[in-house]
Amino acid sequence: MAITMSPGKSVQIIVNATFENELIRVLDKVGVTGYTQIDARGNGYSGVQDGHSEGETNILFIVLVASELAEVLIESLIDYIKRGYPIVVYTNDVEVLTTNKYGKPTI
Amino acid sequence: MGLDSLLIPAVLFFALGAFAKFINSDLKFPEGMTKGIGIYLLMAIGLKGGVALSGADFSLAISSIIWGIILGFLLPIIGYALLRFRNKINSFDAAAISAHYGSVSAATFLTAVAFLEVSGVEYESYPIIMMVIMETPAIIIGLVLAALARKKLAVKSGDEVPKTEWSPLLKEAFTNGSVVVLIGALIIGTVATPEAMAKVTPFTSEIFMGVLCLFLLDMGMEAAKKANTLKKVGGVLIAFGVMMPIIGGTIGVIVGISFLGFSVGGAFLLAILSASASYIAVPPVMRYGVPEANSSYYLTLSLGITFPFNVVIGIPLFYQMATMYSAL
Repeated sequence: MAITMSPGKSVQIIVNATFENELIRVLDKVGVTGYTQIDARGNGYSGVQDGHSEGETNILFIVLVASELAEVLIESLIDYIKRGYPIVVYTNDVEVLTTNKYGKPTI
Repeated sequence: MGLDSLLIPAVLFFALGAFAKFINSDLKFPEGMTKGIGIYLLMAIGLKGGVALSGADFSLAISSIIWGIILGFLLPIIGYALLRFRNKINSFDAAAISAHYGSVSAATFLTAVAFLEVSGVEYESYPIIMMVIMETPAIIIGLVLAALARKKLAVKSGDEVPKTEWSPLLKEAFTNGSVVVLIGALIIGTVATPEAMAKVTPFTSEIFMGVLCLFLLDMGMEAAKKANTLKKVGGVLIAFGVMMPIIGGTIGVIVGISFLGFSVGGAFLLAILSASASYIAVPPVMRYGVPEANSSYYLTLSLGITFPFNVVIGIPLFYQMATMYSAL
């Protein structure tokens, strides 16, 4: 079976846990079909996020998308950042294995 | 009285927690434990209140609810006015902070209950319903004040007035986990038969004070952690963190005795409710609803200043105040 690696973007988004539902709505709206999320702890502009309470827990979202969709997604997040939500966004160029178990590409 | 009020295990465990952080101990609760204990405490106090309510006076219960709503709206407005005095604190921070001070801290309330029980002082169960009622109005006031500030800012800079989406915010205010557990347990305690309730009392009453000690041990550690950010917060806000509970507590004593006819114990509990600031239910709502406000301000204030102030000074102070006022 041939290995199919497709180029794309990995968009990583770090937000407070209280923003989780809103972010999922945004992902859905721009057409992201899947994501991975990890509970995250850290320190920075919003102070120590030690996971002690709901307001002090961060979440790291990892979204693998085509480059065009990455742009749309980031643009829709800028709106929230302007409104004061602390959101960290960064991207990497990635090669994603896009062959599913039936041998067809998934993206 | 006096030092005795500090020598109850719950308060001592609070001090132990703070001390543990102070000496950099590696003491730490497993993840999620505090949340679990918090749910247990709310459930237990809700059931206790429910049982007491089933034999309570209906009209007094209704007036307690009405006063709970009035205080819930009044306290954050007083707080906001104080914070905005001479434009010292920006409107968004003031809105978010005053929402915390209008709402209540269940842990402070429970420590006050522990204090009354150790001292053998009787108290009414109505303040427990008032605790449930007072969780929410302040959140709404905070959100409204922030929306007004947003509008004012947009008009000033000539921008389009941003729309606030109220439904998810209000949903969060009313379906808040603590509110659901408290009201639910209150109803269960009211309707369950006494025989059936007797079966659960070992879990809800007898071990209650011990569990509260554990909870306060963790709160002590959290409060001490917040002490590190005090410098960032500044003198004006620290002064507010001490002044606001004194104002709230005084109002609570007056309303409890003069308007609701509570005993010293009941009025004292209402004073503690009015003096306390939320640090579990309100912060996540404000973080999401008022992103412009600095979140380290309100958490440091309510958990790092007002909670220890109430536990150590507020409890004996408001008890004395209620005793003296009722003797007038």
